[in-house]
Amino acid sequence: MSNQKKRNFQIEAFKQRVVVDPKYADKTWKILEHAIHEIYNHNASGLSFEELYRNAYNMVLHKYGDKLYNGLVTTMTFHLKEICKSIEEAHGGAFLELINRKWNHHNKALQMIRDIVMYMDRTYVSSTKKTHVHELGLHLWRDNVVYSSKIQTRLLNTLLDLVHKERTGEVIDRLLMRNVIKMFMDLGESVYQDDFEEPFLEASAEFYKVESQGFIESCDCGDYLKKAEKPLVEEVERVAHYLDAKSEAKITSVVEKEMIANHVQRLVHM
Amino acid sequence: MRETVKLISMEGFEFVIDREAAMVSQTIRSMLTSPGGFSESKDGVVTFPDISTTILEKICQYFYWSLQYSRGKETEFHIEPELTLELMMAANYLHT
Repeated sequence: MSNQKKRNFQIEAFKQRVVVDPKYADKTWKILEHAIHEIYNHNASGLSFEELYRNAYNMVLHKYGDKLYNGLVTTMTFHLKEICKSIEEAHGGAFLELINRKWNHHNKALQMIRDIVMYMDRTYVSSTKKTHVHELGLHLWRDNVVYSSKIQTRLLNTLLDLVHKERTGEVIDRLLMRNVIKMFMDLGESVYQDDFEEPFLEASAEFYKVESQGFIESCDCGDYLKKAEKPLVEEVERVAHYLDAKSEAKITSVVEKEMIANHVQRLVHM
Repeated sequence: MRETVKLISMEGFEFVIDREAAMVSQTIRSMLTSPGGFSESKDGVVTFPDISTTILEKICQYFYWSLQYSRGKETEFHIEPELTLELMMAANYLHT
């Protein structure tokens, strides 16, 4: 293309060149697809942001926004399934550790991808009312990793088990707990509430029901109340360390119910 | 942190401007700050194969004008009519 001749009509010329090449969209998408693979493989340092952004930008300008968007979903899903497999294979303590590491990596990759396809995000995605790239990345992680049949129950049980260990006096990695539980919060309030908080409250009720039975058989009223106060302090502390602040009122009321309210008659007549 | 960045036009002209000015463009801001070490954020150099020297020069002037404007110096920014279309295309691309 001769620049001097078409200088004032550069934009027109560009469009034409693209329309003439029927493989344009496929070729451009291949470049971006390759880049997404590199990003997930920790290999992005050689990539040119400008080149990727320009390609994504041009795809949207030339009405290939849906191809770009769908390609993005497919490619990210592919990587999340790979990640999911590697997490499933992790044993013991490495499981939670790996989820946390992969989650952090996914977040970073997601931010890079979102930056590259920023133009699509602010034009095509907004006008077609699709899910924005950042949120899309969170949904894909949730559905492919957190809700994977081999991970979902194991993850919840691992977390509840750690809480139980801490309640019975063991020292656990609170930072790791906080990071993983923060993941639930980042995935949305409903994910945190339905997939962690509710089972957590149920397990807590069960734990304190058994606990209070043991105490009430062996103490008088004064001692019992002292013993009942300790878990209240501990649970508030737990919330501060690794749960959502909104959980404080809920867990406190569970403890109060199991430790005091359910035994109030007996305590009064002791 | 690097103080200046280099913007290179289609024809290979290099504009060295303050990083702060370049970041008026959301696109350039992402290029320079996105995590993961893209080449632009490592080198502080961005090449624009689709932006001509004339337009890139005008854009750089605009960056500085915009900084001044945001600091309360309300002057006019003059645009030659024949540049308008290309400049708008570039502004769309640069998210400015």
